[in-house]
Amino acid sequence: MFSDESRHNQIHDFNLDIRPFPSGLFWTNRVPNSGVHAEEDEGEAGVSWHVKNLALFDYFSVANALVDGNSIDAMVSYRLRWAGDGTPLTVDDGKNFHFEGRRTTATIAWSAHEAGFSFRSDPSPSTQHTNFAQVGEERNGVFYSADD
Amino acid sequence: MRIPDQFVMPTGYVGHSHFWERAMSRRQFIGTTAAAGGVALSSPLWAPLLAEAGGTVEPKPIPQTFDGSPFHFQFLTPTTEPSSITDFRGVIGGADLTGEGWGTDTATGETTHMFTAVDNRFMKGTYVGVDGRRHEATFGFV
Repeated sequence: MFSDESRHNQIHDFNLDIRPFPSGLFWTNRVPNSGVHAEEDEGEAGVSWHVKNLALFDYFSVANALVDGNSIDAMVSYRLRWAGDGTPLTVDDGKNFHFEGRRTTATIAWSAHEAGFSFRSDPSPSTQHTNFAQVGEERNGVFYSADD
Repeated sequence: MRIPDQFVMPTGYVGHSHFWERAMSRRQFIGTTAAAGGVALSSPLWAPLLAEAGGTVEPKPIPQTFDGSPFHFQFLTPTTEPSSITDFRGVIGGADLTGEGWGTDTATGETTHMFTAVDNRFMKGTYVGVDGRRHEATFGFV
């Protein structure tokens, strides 16, 4: 989260942790299974992911997060939605993973809370830009070449 | 939530207690914040979310690392691996987005226009955990 539109002056950085630091799971944690939905019955075949009150940390900047610097407890809630259109995308690096799905656009509505501060995003699509978004199926590791 | 493309990896390590160590003190955090700011943070979803996560067998990180760093993740691009966990098979979604919003100083009520950069991903499916067994779960990269 930045105070300037050029996104150089970062003032909040909400992340999960890296455990064990630095070579363990990166910003990844269990979330409720019920949060992911295919929305094929709503007129457009999109996918949504809804998370409410996810406990994480505000490291204030990416630089501080990546040295496991000081942080405070925070919570975020969000609803991310991948559009139903897009272009087919298949990626396979030949040894680690295979992804097959589509490249598309996405929108997010999210909020954050911590001691002394709260944030609410502008959900209007006109204030959002998709740099890159994808949704599909992936297999990797022991499942990369497995048939089951 | 997102690492800028031009980011230069820092050196040094301050260190702090991690998620599960700190989770135990969060109820106190909620109570303190709610009392100070009048914000209703003690949602019923809080405890179930921690309980569900607490019973989870940890997955393993992908083997690839970012740009020579020790960090096991890849940028979200058309040619890189979106998952942050390995031995995984399932549905995945990732989004690298910029946006705007409003921050509020809950002590004064002052609001500020802010700008965001988000890289959020979900992974829902089967994975082989650190125990060597298969499990079903959904993970978020946030």
